[in-house]
Amino acid sequence: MKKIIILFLFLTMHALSAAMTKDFVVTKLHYNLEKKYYQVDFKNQAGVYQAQVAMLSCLRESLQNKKAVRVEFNPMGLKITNCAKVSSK
Amino acid sequence: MIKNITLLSFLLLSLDGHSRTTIEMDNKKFECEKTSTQLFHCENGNHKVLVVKNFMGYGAVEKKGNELPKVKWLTKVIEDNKILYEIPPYPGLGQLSGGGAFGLFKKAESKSDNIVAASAVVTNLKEIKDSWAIEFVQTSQNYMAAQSLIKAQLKIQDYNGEQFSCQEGQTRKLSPEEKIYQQSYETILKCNYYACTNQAGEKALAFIPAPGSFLGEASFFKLKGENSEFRYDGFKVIDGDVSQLVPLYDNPPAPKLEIAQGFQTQIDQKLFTPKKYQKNATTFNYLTNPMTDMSVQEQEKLCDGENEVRNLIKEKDLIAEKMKDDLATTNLSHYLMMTNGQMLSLLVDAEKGRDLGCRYDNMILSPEAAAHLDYLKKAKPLPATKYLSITEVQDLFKKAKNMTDIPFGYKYDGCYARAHVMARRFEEMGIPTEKAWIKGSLFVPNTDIQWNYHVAPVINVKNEKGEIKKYVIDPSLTDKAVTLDEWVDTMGKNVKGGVMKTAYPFPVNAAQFQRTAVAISSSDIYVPDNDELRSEEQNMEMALQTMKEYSAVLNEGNI
Repeated sequence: MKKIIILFLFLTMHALSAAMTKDFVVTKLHYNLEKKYYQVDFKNQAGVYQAQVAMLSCLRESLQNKKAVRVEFNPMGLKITNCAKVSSK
Repeated sequence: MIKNITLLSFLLLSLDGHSRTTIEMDNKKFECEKTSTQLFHCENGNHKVLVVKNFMGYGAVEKKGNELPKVKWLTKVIEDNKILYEIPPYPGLGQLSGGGAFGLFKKAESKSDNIVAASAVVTNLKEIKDSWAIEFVQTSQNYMAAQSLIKAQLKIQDYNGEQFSCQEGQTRKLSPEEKIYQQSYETILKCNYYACTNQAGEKALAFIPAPGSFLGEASFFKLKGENSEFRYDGFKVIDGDVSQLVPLYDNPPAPKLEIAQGFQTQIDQKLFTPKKYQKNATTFNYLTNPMTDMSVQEQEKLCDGENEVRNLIKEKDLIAEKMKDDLATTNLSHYLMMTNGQMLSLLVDAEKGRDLGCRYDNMILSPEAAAHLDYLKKAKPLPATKYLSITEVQDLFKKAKNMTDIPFGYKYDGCYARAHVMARRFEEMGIPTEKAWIKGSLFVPNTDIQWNYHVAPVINVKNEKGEIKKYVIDPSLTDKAVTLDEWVDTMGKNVKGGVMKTAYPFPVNAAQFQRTAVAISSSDIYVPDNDELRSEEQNMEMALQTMKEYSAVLNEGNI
């Protein structure tokens, strides 16, 4: 029962934040001094995304290996809220 | 539980009791005692080697006498004359460095290397319940704890003998959020920059992070105006007496070391460097390339206001600005090359670019890129055969704006999908359509929206004077059809140089040269990278899916 409640809360939070999840390859990482966040370009995506330092190692790995990472972001503002390696399985 | 593990280990040991296991490592043989199916204790004199069977095969940690334990490669594992594991000789063995489970580590030559090696031992063995594993982890952790503090005064010795005395910069007052960050990530936020001078009074700015931290490599920047020199290699950092055997960092000269700058790692950096900076191409590219990971700048902000480190950072920034100004006025060529099977479109120094290949459509093609003429022909717009009038193009704009399934209000991304669907619908109306691409450091004025690139459909128009003009239909950006130049002017540009009209594919490094690139393609090109060859049906399916997703975003937000 507890697990169901937690799952429900998780899903509800997701619905409220309207986050999107997509697999992208990082092509550029740039720290914006003025705005104090990292600007991230993804292959073929026109928008410039934003990330905080906690996402850096995941994003940097994608930049270096040219491999896709799974990115969760808020589509209004393109703020990245999560980044994880894409499982090969 | 412990009893069960002990019993299991005993049983496994009993089963294997009569087998004889040996390993080979660094051209030496070691006799081993198998303590379980996964672990061997191997010895040769005062060398102890703990062998662990893992998903990659076998890994080993060696401890020689009182030295620090180190992760090593095994070359062979033999059990009862049967080879269980063998790796062929590899010329780079022992020269490489790396991480991960039982990766390769170069011979430790500095405290920094030792800390990285100790950290690898801890990472690999900390979960293993074995007396040797516990001993090796403890020894490594003790070493790391003893080296955790860096002194405020250091010496930097250049490999050509030059010596600099360095003083640590002051750390600014941290915000409450930063203090929480320190606690959460068990890290220390501090100014890692040092102000250095040599006997001749020359100045240098050194970045010396704590060894083994995630902040990256130590670097050294000699400030000499146009002849400034930035380096990751060719120096030692000494945190005690110069005669001391183990420096904090020892970065021998490594001419092939490249700054991680995405595509540039495989390309001669001199192609991107104006003639006057050719001697210091690495420095020039480091200071001017927006592709460089700028986490370093975040570090600079941790250094306090008025002191020598801040002055040197300001001096370095002024040198960088001067170099950017020079870049903005450099003569350039548009160069197409192939790398890892992908076509790469770049701006390069005009003088250097001249001899790189043959000319095609105002571009220089490498021999490999010239083999892909079919793609270039597909990307090139066909000669215009039909023109709309000004009135007709404005009517077309209104029709586009009324396409309610296209989320023009969602400006953050998706222009490629909007452009493709509009272009195909215009063509269904019998109107030949092209696409205009703009690439640079772009933003939408008065918003927080930034674009890596932007694209919109283009129509050829004949005005009242009979002049042929390209008009862009972009309801996400303008309220009427506008000429290509007006469309380009609509966008904000964070670069010092001007707009370059180039052939398609547009150069991806336009912003690096402080420019904005504009290119016209046929309507067949969906997104800039051509390595994912998809059919028109697949492109359209993706475009419609993208618009559906972004329409949903707008509807949720009631915008």
